[in-house]
Amino acid sequence: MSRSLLRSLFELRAPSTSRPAAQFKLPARSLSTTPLRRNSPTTTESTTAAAQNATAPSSIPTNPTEAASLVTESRSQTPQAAEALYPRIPQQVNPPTSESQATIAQLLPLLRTQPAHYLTAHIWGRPYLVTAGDQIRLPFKMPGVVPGDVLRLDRASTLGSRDFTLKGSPYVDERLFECRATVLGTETEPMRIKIKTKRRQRRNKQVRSKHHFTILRISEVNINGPEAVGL
Amino acid sequence: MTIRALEKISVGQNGIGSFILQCKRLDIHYCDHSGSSRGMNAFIKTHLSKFAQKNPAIEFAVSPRPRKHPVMIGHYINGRQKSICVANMEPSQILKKAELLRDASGDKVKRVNKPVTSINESVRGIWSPYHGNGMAV
Amino acid sequence: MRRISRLGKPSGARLAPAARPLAPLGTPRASTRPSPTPAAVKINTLRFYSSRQPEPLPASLTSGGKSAAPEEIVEEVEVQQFDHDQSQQQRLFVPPPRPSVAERADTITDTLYTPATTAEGLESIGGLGSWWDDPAHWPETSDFVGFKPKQKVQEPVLLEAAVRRALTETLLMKQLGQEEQLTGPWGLQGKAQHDAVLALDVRVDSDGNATVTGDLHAVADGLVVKDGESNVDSADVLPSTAEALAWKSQADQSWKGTSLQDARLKFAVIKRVMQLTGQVIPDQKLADIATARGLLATLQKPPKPKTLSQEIVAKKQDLVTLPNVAFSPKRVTRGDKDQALGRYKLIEAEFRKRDLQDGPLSVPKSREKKHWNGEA
Repeated sequence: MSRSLLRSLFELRAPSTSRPAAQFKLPARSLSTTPLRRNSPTTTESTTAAAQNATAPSSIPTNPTEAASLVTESRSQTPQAAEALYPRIPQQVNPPTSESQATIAQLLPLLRTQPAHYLTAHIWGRPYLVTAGDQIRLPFKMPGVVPGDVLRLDRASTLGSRDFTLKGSPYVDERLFECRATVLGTETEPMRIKIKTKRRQRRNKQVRSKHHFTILRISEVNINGPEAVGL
Repeated sequence: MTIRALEKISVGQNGIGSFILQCKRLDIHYCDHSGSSRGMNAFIKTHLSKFAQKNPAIEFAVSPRPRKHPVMIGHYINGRQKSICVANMEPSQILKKAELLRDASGDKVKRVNKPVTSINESVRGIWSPYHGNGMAV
Repeated sequence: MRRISRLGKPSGARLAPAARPLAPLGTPRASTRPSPTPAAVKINTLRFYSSRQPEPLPASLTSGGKSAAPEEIVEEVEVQQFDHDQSQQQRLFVPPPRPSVAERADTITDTLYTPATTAEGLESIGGLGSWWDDPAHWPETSDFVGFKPKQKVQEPVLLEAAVRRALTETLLMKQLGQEEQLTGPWGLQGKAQHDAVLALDVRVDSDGNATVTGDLHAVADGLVVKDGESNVDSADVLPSTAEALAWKSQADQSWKGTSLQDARLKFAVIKRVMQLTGQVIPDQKLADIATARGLLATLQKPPKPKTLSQEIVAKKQDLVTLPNVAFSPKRVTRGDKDQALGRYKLIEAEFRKRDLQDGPLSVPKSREKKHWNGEA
């Protein structure tokens, strides 16, 4: 076991419990294929094989509604209105191999014990590598949300700590983590002026554009143990 | 060796513990007589009460400004303000502008290229060529 | 200088001293003519007077006048003065006394007289000082009293009673054959007359023609203006709201169908309503009024709010009661912001400490306001 892993075991921090976990219980479903990979130099042959398995080409859907279903825990809207705008899309999971089950059961507790975690959350098909406290400037204005709304991000392709990474194919099972983001508001940028010219013509056209971007703050990143998926 | 205090101070990050709306006050100015205020006067009569009810964290100050175009001025927690002239606009357009002022952070608008801004240390550390097993060339 | 607003008070030929012939010509008094306006109704008028302390009169006015000046010069001065007929003038204003005129230097026969070389020690003559600013010289009777009362009656029940009274009076005058009285001035009598008019019965046929039955002559006598009529307080011309409500509950409503197509009738009714209530019907609404009901509806329609804040206070109470919405009826100035913060008091205190500002640090009154108050 590496020295840094030992150190992080001593610096074990209790996971954030700002929200009761029972509130977000999800319906039981089959396990996803979420093999665990160790990044430390002492990687064994078996986990490397699992990593190769995980990084095998997988079709990441480009349709935003499929790529990330947002669960809005909105202040401003009724749950029905939020559900109508962003319907809950169940995750399509493949049955896990026995190998990936074994690595999750063995290595996920170690990942949890290392204090700082990151995840690659996918929002509308785009990946954002975030830790708790980060600010995301989405490249669009998200309709139907107001400042103060809390979104639960339930699509992630990787979960990780300093020495361990859990990769999904394409996504990690959503029961293994809880990630929440608060909508901070909408920002914009200085107006862009693009000058369009045509050859041998004296006129040139100014095209102006100014876009609005929704700002999110990752308020919570929790990683659950293997018992969340019944291992 | 002298003892030095830790230089690290806590940095407030809105939305982590609690969320505070950055817009604290919205000044709404209108004119009773001039035609450019017609939409604004209609907005005050029809839309304002619902908008104010939905946003109890914002203080709305409505006052006339005779012989001037109608203006909305948002005041923000960071001390800055943002003003929008809403002359000759329809009430629904003015509502959009009011939402824009509510959603804004009050900071100066600037172009940002990276989607994620973080003040945390890198989780996986910085890669170094002198550590680890080395690379076979 | 006196402003025009103060000279606007006398109304009509009887009341205008400037229109009168000059005193030495001595034409007969115009007051023998019948008055074109009814006797003055005592109305709560606003009186604006200078707040300045009256200055002492110039020596030429206090020394008592005629003695010093030669006779022909006094005559000349008298022509330029207002007429000093106290019986007439007492109700308008108190004219200043006749000025005294100093002897001319070339007519002085005293051998000891030496002309002064400096102004020091000489008494000043001429000028009226602050005579016109003294409220005592403007008795209350001199205030202008218009045909229309200054306070509008807005109460719907009172308006209904007033329209009914005006209509009945007009109809009975027409019925008695006094057509020329329809365009003439009518007296303003008190509640007894009001009750007597409302007691008359108005019958309306299917064409809208109305007939009045009852003791018509007694009421008509009260309407015709006689000289020297006693003043009636305008508050008593119409009944109280409670009395009007009691009248309305048992009154027959058929009078509202009376046709007002006859222009003379309509004019007389509207004129009388204006005299009773102070409500003026604008010209563009006149053509739409065909019956007494239409007239009543026009009068009872509440006036349009002038400003958005008035409208919101009247109609949008839900907006006013919201805890996070503040309405200001007037423009919010820098001073208002300072007052809201509590900074205003500090600024004033600091100014006082440095002897820079005496009194409140507020915007001075406008110059016009000074003029309204009769100040120079």
